[in-house]
Amino acid sequence: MKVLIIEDEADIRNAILSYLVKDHFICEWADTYLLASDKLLMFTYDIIVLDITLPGGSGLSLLKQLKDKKSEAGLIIISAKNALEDKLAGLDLGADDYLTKPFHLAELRSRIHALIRRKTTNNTEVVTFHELSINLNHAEAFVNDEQIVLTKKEYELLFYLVQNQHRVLSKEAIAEHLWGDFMENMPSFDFVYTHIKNLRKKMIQLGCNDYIKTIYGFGYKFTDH
Amino acid sequence: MKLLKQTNRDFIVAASIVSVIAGVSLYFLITGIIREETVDTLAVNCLRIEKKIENNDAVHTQLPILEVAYLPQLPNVAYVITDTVIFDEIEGEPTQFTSFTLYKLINGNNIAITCRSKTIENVDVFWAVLKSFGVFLILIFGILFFMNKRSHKKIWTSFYKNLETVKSYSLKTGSELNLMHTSIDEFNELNNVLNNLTNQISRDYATLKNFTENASHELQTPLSIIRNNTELLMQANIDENVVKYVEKIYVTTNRISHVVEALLLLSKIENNQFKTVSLINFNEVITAQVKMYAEIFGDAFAIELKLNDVFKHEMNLQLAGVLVKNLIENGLKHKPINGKLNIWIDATKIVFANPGVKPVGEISNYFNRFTKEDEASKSSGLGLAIVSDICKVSGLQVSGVYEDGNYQFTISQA
Repeated sequence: MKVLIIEDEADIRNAILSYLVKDHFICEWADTYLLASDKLLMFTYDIIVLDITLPGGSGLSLLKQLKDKKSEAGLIIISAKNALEDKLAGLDLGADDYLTKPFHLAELRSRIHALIRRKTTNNTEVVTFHELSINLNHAEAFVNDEQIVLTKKEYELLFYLVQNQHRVLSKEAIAEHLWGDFMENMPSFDFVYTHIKNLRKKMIQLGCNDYIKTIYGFGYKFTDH
Repeated sequence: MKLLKQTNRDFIVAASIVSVIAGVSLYFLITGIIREETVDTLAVNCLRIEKKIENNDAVHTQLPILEVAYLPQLPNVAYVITDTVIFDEIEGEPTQFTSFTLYKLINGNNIAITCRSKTIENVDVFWAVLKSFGVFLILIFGILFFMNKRSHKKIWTSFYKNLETVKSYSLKTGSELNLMHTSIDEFNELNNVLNNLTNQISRDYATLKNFTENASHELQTPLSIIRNNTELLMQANIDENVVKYVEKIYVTTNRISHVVEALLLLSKIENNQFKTVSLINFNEVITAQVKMYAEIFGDAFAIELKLNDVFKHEMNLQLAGVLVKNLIENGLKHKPINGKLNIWIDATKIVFANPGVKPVGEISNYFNRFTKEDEASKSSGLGLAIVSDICKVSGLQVSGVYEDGNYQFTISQA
């Protein structure tokens, strides 16, 4: 998988690159409009993460360029502007997703993976983790072939945890992944614990190992270590 | 009171005072002159009669205007002026006469020559003066009225037009204040001052408007960097004690980020950036959100919704969502753990009620920015300010009361 990160802010770019390094993607980056435009002309990418405000030009023009080229790359916009019009303009020009700064790295990664899944037409995709398996097409989870009865949110939570295995996920990132913009201004994210607790209980009942580790005060980590 | 009315009134008062003084003076002047002239004429007549008597011409008494009398002795005075009332046979009524009597020794005889003339009565003079001044005043006021009306139209039309322009001027349109040029220097000066003032305010307003938006966007980038690096730091195997510190940084960064978001939202609401409106069914909006909260909070769920009727209002959908969300969150945040947030919807109002501790100040203060019940509180103090601003731009009204240990916030159509 080839990923191009177009972001002029070095610290954000480096954070994204560091976070994605474990995924074994081929990551390239561009920090100006011109450099990005050149790279998009010369090479083909599977995923492009694009910041709208760039030195030398607007990221929206790059979107047009990609559209003209009939690019099949998955496109995620990251922008400091949380305006509906900007979002619509970006999505209109062919972007697949839109993230507002500040975003959670885990969320960006999860969206990249979702895009990859959507682009690769795999009929029956199943993600497994030891005795646990998740059928993405039917949105079902199993412990040793026995189905766990989950609510829609519990399924999403489990998949998010498995997808970000071995990574620490904050309560905020989990909440925002599950409920999106609705989590803005939440005074506390302690309610995530209730959902984790319910999920854990259902999994253990079917004989699954407890892979959900609590990271004191901060969040959770899905791991077998 | 209008300027024209005021100046007219002042003028009428001044003109009346001057007229009274002038009238009284004129009355005394005229009566004085008449008296003097009458006496003069009578004296000359007496001298003429004296000459006739001296020349032994026959002089006959002709009452009441001429009387010649022979006296045994002359008085000590040369003449006497008197006013007498005599019955005038021609006029058929008692009439006042002015008499001039000359005492003289003529041809060895002591003679008194009396000439009389009908006195012009003071009352007549008084009425004459009053009438002429009355006509004068009416004419003056009449002419003034018409002239004012004419020049008023000419002078003030542009003023009133400009006044309308200023009244309907709004900073939000960003247009310039175009005032009409007039022929009056004072008005033009006022126009210049107004133009300069509005231009300055307009520039300041634009700067401020952009500042809030730019500042918010500029802040989000460094906040992103802090947040992303904290997330990266958490991926490393760090000590549990250190996690505590990292968590603090992370949570605080999120808090700043939310305050910035809220400020940006407030500035967008104030700048009228939510223009599209549609008829919103609040029952649907609230039911959906309550469902969402039920899912989020699970067992600890604490909202009771009563739909008595349907509340509908024309406004921006996004703002309606934020309005409801902020009021629900405010209730959830400030109720005791076991307390319940009650929402009931009527056709004319929506009420959000929750138990809570007595407010420190006035509840209306909670609609101001950065007002919190206590400084240590983790809330930004912007939630209800956003509620108030959304209501202002959406034709809604919000009010809050604290009664019997319950907070009650009511939304109704303005």
